[in-house]
Amino acid sequence: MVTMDADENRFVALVDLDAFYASVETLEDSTLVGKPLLIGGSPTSRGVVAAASYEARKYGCHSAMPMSRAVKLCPIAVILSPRFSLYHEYSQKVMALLRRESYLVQQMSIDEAYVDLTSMAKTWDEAEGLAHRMQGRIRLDLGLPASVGLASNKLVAKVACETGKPEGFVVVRDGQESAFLDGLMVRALPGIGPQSAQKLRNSGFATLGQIACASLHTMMNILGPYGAVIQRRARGEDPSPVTTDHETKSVSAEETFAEDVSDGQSLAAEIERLSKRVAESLSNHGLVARTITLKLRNTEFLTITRSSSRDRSTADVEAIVADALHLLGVNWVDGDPVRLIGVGASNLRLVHATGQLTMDI
Amino acid sequence: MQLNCLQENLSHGLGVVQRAVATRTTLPITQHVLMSTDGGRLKMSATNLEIAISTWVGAEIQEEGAITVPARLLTDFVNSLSKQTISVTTTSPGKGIELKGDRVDATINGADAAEFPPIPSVEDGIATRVDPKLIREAIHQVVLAAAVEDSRPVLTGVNVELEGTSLTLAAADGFRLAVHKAEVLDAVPEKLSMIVPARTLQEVERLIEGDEPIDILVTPQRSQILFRLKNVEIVSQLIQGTFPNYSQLVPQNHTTRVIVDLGELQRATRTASIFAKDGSGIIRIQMSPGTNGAGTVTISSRAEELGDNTGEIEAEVEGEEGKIAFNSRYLSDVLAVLGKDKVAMEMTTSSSPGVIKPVDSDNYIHVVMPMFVQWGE
Repeated sequence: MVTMDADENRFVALVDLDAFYASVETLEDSTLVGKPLLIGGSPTSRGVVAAASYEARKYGCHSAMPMSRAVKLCPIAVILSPRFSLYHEYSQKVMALLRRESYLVQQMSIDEAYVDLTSMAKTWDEAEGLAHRMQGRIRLDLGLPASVGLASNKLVAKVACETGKPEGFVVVRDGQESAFLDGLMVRALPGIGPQSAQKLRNSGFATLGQIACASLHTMMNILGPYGAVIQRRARGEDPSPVTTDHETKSVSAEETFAEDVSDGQSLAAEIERLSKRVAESLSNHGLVARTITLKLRNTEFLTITRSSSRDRSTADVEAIVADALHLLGVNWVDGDPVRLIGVGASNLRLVHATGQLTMDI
Repeated sequence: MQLNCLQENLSHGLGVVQRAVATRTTLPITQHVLMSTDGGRLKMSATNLEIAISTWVGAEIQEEGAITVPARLLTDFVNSLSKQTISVTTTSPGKGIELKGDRVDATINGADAAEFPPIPSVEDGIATRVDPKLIREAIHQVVLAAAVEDSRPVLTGVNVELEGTSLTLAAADGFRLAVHKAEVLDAVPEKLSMIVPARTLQEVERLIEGDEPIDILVTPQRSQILFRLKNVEIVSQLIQGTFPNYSQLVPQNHTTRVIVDLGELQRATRTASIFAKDGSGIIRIQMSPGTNGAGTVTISSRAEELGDNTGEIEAEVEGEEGKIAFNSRYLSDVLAVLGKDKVAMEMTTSSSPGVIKPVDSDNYIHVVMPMFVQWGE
C-alpha cells in the first residue's frame, strides 16, 4: 500500500466518468449519440436502471429506478442490457491511463478514482495543468467524457467534481474551501443522506455554511456524535489520504430473479452458475478462498448472508458449490420465495491457481 | 503544396508512420497523416499523442506547403495503385489534396496542417548513438517479457539504463525477466535510467534498416525519447514511475546446468506444447546427468484424458538431476529469440526461477518462474 503524508499541502483530483455505461455504449454504437439511453434490466420484469444517459436524465430517469417507471417517464428511450465486461474493459483503460499520470491512484468504483498529484506538481497551476491533461487524455485517447474536481483533499475534490458534472473541471484551491462550500445545499456533502438532511432542515439548516459556523453542541444535538464529523466535513476538512490498495478482499456474484424462486432445484442450479463465475474470477486473479458466503434476500427485502470457512483454501467450482449448497440447506426453509441469491468467496490468498509461480516484484 | 512522388515512396512512407496513427479517438485529426515539404523531400508524420513517427521520402517539390489527410484513406488509395509517379497538390488551402497519376485522379478531403498536434521535438538532452544491429537484437530479446496488461504501467515498458557506454535493457511481467546488455557508441555523461513503452521499442525494431548508427536522445526532463533512424524519427513519451529492482531476481547460482542444441530443444518444446495446450500449458523438463558430462533432457507434457508425450534430447548435464516445469508459451517465447546454436538452462529447485541463456555469451539472461506441479515418484 502506498500513501502520501497527510500533513503537507496536497493536490487531490477526483476523476469521475460521466454517465459511464451510457458513454461506452455510445462509443460502441455511434447511432446512439444524442439519444436518451437506459441501461439495465427489462421493463417487463423487475429490472432496475443501472445507468441513464444525460439525455434520459432530462426526463427524470436515474439509476436504481425501476426500469418500468423509467420507461414511463421517457418512452422514447433506447433500452440496452448492460455489458459489464465491456465497461470493465474501458474502466481498466481509464485506470491505466490515470496510473501513468500518478502512482497514487485510488480506484473507488468502476468509473471513479482519486488521483494524488502532490508529488507531480509543485504549484496549483501545475496541478491544474496535470488534472486538465488527464481529463483531456481520457477524452482524446478513450473517447470518454469525465468530470474532474481538484482540491487539497478528497472530500472537497469530490464535491467540486459533482458540482461540475457533466464534463466539468472545478478547482478549489487551498484556502478557498469555505468560499466554495458555504453556499452549497446540505445534500451536496457526501455523508449527508436524506435522513440527516431532513433533520438538518427541520432545525433550520439549509446550507453547508450554516453547518460550518454552528456550534458543535447544536450539531451534536441534531445528528448525535456524527454531527461533529459532519461539521468538520462541512468546513472542508478531510485528512484521509489517497491510498493504493490493489488487494482484492472478496469475489462474489449474485442474481436478482425476474420472478421469485421457491423451488430448491432452481436455486441449486443458480448456485452452480454463480459459483462458476466466482471460481472463474478467483482463478483469473490467481486467488484461492477460505470462506464461502451465501446471500439470500426474500420478498420482504430481508437479506441474510451466511458463511462457512474451510480447512483448505480453494478456487475449485465443485468445492464452492458444495459449500454454498450446504449453506442453502441450513439457512433456507424449503418453499420460501427467494428474490435474490448470491455466492461469495473471501479470506483470499494469492497462489496463481494455474500453478504458475510469480516473481516478487 | 505541390509535388511529384513515386507511388512506392508514398506507400513506403505511409507504411512507416501507420502504426502511430490513432486507431480510435475523438480527436479525429490524430487519424490523419501530416504531409509537408521539408528540405526538398516529402515529410510524413503521424501521432497518437503517445508516440509520433515521422519519415522523409524523395519527392520532386514544386511548391512548399503542408496539409493533413485521413491516413487510412490515403494509404488504401495509394496501395491500390500500380507503380507510377503521382502528383500531389493541395486543393484550396487547408481543404485537402488532389492526387493525379496515370489515368487516375482522386481528391481526399483533409484539414489544415496547423490543426495537427505538434510533433514533440527533442532538440537537446542526453544523446548517444548505437549500432542498429545491436539495439535491434537487444529489443528483440527483451520486449517479449514486458507485460501486456496495463495493471502496472511500469511493467508494460522496458527499463533502459545507460551508464558510460553500457546499455542495459530489461523487462519483466511478473513471470519472467529478460535482461540484455549492449554497448553504445558514445559514452553518456551521467547515468540514465528510464522506462520506454515496449510498443515504442517494437516500432524501433520494425523500422531499423541499414548499418548507420541510430541516434538516441532523451529530453532533459526525462519525459520523452527520440530515436533517429535513417529517414525516420520516432518520438515517444516515457513511462513515469520506478521500475522494480530486478537484479535480485537473477539467481546467483545453480545446482543443475544443461547445455543443449537450441533447434532440438525448440522442436521438443513445440511437440510438447501440443499436449500442454489442454493442460494449463505445463511443460515438464527433467535433466538427468549421465557419465562424463553427457546426459539427457526429457521434455514431457500431458493433457488430462487426452494423452501425453515425452521427448528426449542429448545434453551436457552438470550437477544433480533436476526437474522443473514451465509454461509452454514462456519457454517457446524465449527459445524463439535466442538465435544461438547452443542454449544453457540452469536451475536449483523445481520451485525456484530457471535461467535460460545463450552459451558463450554473457549479454543476455532470461529468468522464468516455474509452474508448480506434482512430480510423483
